[in-house]
Amino acid sequence: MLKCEDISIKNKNNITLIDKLNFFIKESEIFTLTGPSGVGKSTLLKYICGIRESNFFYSGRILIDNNIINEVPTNLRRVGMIFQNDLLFPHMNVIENILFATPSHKKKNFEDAANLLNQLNLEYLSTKKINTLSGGEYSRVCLARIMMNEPKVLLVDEPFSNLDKKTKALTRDFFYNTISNLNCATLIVTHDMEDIYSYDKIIKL
Amino acid sequence: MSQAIFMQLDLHLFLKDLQILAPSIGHTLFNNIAAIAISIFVAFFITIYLYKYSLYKSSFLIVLISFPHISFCIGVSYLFASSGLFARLFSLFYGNEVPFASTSGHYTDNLIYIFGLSIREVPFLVLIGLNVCDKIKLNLINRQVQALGFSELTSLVNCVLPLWLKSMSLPILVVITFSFSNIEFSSILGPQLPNMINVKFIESWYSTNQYLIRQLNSLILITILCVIFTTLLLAFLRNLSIYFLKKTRFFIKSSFNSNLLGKIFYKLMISIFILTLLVTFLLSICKSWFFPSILPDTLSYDGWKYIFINHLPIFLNSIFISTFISFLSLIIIGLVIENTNKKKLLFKILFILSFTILILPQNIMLIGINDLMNITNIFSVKIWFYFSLFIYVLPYTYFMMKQTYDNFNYQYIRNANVLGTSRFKSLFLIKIPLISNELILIFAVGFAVCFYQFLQGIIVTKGEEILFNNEVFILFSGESINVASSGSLMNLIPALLLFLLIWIRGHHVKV
Repeated sequence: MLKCEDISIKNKNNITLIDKLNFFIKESEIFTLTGPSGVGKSTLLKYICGIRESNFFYSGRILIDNNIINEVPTNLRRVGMIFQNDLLFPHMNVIENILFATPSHKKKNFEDAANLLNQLNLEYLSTKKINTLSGGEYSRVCLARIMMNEPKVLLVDEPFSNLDKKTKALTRDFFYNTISNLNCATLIVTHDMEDIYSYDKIIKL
Repeated sequence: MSQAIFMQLDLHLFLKDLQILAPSIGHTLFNNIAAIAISIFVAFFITIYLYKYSLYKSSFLIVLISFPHISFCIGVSYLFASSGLFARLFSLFYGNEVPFASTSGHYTDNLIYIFGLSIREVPFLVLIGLNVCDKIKLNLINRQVQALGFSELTSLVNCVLPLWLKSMSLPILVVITFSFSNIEFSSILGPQLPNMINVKFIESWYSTNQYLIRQLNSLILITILCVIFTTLLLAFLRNLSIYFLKKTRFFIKSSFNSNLLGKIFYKLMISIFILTLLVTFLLSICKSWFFPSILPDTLSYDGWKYIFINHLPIFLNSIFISTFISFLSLIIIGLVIENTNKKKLLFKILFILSFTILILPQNIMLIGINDLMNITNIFSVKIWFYFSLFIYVLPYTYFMMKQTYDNFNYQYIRNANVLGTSRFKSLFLIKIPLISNELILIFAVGFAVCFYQFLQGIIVTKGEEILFNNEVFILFSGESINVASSGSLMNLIPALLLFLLIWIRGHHVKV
């Protein structure tokens, strides 16, 4: 489903961060990308997502379902990404944040969003304001919002880095249980070995 | 009139004018330099006090900044008049031997002018100064200096003040150019014989006397030279004081509470603003108020009634014009900033234009616009009037909007993009709702700036198109005191109401 061919990333000082990286992630497969800080893990994820930072030079091909998507705008790629500091929209409540990922606020979409929250046992949060959520709840709603968009590829950038140890363990289990049931190719970036599950395939940078 | 501007400057005539205008130039330079120096000094201590105790509310300072110059000058003149509030209060202790009165000569007028202008400029300097404190990390400096065994006052005087002054160059330059181009302070509070050059400027502009028309060339040059001289002098004094402060260690073990000074200045500033309002209000509702009574003897609402019957159309028209101009400026600046980045030419042009408008003396700039109107002879006077108002709203909208965009967290837009949202949709559903409080504040500031413009009606249209602000000045010059006071207070209402609504909304809607 997601294929990266000869991906290279250089910084503005012409130092190579990633050199001709190749990998292929099938539907429902989870890959973990790991490596030390500053090696270009998050930059690679953003590149796959379509966000190019001006101080980096990129090359290589990204394919989804055998279609090259290098020039496709971010909003049309159907690539969902959970950023390291992911932000829910503070002027909307939880259900409105989840509905934002749908084309319109139709009754059917509203029902789908409510069902999704039910599946994830988050229905008690639906009308809560964003600033009242705990760290773990915040991360879960971020995942629910991206799931609502039904992405073909899911990219996750160190989603538990801001959580305390107890919340981290609970949220991590929730994430893996949820993601493993999705029909999308998932690439998770982490530098914490605890976050890597046994069924993950690992790419080390 | 445009012929006068394009007349070749004759050096001989200029020197002759310089000699004739020397007393006016002397008054102007002395008054403005003293007022600016005092306002910088006072603003520094107030800023430190407000910053340290996090007492400041930007919206409150903006209300003070938006206090119309005309209404403030009228209020101050009522405070210091020979039968004004201060004279009445002093008479309780000294009888009729009041130590000050506007009739006691231009020395007292100079002092009242310096007092009025310095107090009026303080809120503006404080508002910018608070942002500067954030930028220079004032609390961190204070902690570090005190950890080295020095007093807080040493930290403020030797470390914070030099940094603060350096970062305050642009706002101080704006205050300098304003002081040499304003007409409200110089004509209402300033000395009369001889007038300050700001007043001479307008006299020449309206004159039909060939000599005075020609003198306008000299006045333009004198104004520019005065601005340059004051800027250089203040820059020299600043650098000199920074040099000495680097070499010396004052107040090392001083236990003097510098915050006390800031607190006193702050309370004094607020009191002056409240007193000007109070005295203007009392005058607007009094029928007779004999000296030395502290309160009016008989009350009447005739002043307000007169204003509502005779001046409501121009009042509403001014509100309409200001709303339109502020909204237009918000849309235009928003579109430019949204569609360009900092490297683009259009963005740079906008920055240079905004900067130039702020640092050029307004009277000279508006004479330029009037000339352009006469030379091109396209569009009606009304359009040129709107244009001249627009270009003075533009810098405020630009700088505030730029700051809003700089502070905006673009992660929201990235999130929206990843969720499949187009740029257009994320602008309307994410960015605008998230910055709505700031947008409303920018609109309100633009509205207040436009509503309180004064020189456009005098210079560009020569009275053909005016705002209610100009009408208040006319009322002050020619009508009874309670009509003028009612007009002066009514002038305050629109911006005050707008900021009050923003303040209430800010307490209920937190984004």
